[in-house]
Amino acid sequence: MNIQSVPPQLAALQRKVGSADFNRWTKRRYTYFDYVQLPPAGTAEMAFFAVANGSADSYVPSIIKTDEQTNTSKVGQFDKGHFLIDNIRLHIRTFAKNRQATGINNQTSIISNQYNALQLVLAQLAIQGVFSFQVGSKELFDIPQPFLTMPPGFGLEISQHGAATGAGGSYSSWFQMDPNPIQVYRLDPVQLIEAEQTFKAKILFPNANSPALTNIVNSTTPKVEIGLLFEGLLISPVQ
Amino acid sequence: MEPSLDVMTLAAIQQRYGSIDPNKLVTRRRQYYSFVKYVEAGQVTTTFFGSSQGGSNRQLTNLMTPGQFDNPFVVKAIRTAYYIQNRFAVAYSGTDASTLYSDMVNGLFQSGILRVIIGGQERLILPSPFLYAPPASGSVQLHTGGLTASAGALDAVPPTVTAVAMTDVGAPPFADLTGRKDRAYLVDPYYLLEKQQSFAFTIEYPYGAIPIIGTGVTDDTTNPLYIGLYLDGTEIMNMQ
Repeated sequence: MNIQSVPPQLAALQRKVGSADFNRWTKRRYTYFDYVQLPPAGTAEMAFFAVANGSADSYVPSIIKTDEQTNTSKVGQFDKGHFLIDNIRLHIRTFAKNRQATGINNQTSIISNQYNALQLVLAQLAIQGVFSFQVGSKELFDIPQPFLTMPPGFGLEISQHGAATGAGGSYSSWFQMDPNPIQVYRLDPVQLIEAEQTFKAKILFPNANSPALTNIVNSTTPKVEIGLLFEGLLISPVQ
Repeated sequence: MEPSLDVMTLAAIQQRYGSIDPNKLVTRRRQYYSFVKYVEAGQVTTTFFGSSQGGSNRQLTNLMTPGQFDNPFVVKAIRTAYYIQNRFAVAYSGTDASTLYSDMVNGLFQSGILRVIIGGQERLILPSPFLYAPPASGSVQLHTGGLTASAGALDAVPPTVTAVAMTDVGAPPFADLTGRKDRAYLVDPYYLLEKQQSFAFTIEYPYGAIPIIGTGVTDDTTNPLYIGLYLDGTEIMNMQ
């Protein structure tokens, strides 16, 4: 039998959509991300990339992860090829108003007046924790105060967070992580994670649990996502 | 043989306008842009570059043919944006609905993904694209006058420090997507989009559509909110 021969159906398919050539590789800038709900009652540990797209969130199971929460279909793996991590970012993202529970999503002035307690909790959270990244059984990174050390490097330009338009009104605040891209945590040297290689990424709160969110906004528990973003170069075979 | 009239006419036209020499190419910096209405009820998927100037206007796109660039185009940066004719259509009243600031900090501009598909292959999926790939095209700054004390309480001698009522100077809360040019999302390596290349650039909210919060400001008919995408790069053209 000629092992070089290709069945005609396969040849037709290859002509149409191509097939991977593992002798030739290409790279491109890419970001793997996983947004996990901040446990409302506080936690000693948060795990990332522990639940794949389409599954229930680890800490708020009523939330089913979509492409908006994560872009990996495998647990603890990068699913599209080898990945060269250039930088690591954390992003605290308050769930959009309409995605919050009743008690928040039906209020007319929640953003300007009633979110203040949440902003203080987020500012408190931002100085806590230790990031741990383990490949196989080996811990590669342990980074203290990761929300400060590994900021998202993107965000808004906020001039004023107004709270009231008349005398006697209360003034509140708005929290945002460092939006300056220069501040992202770059690896040196960059870290290669091979396809199928498993890893664990966690934020630990060893001193005390992360701050609780229970009933802090209008007697309602707000939903907050914590995103872990690995940015780098995705290396995959040419098709 | 005498040249025919057609040949002479063609030569005259060529002298005046030149003719394409496919062996010689020129390049120039070019931005293709596309803005699409984002309805107040929210929409799960917004597809860019689907309409041309003919079906829109030059404020919203510079595409001459829907879904197709004029020439081969090398994409170097991707930038999201928004456009609204009147951002301050109503005075800020303290409610979330009376300002687009609400959408900036807790609405559609915080969430979503940008998906890039070229030639049938997903090249990129980016979270919070309005933050991660911001306009980076320059921005205005709106400074407030700060706070003033009412009833002259701080003017008293000695100043009255109890129950001082404070009021702002009427400025609305204000935030914007960052315009700093060093924060553009640069693609690496560049994307080459051939003239007939199939591509799709979408902003999606797969977890569920996010309605506009500042509906006192927006109106789908008279003052709609548009979200947009800039592709910044180099256009490759035949030399004439």
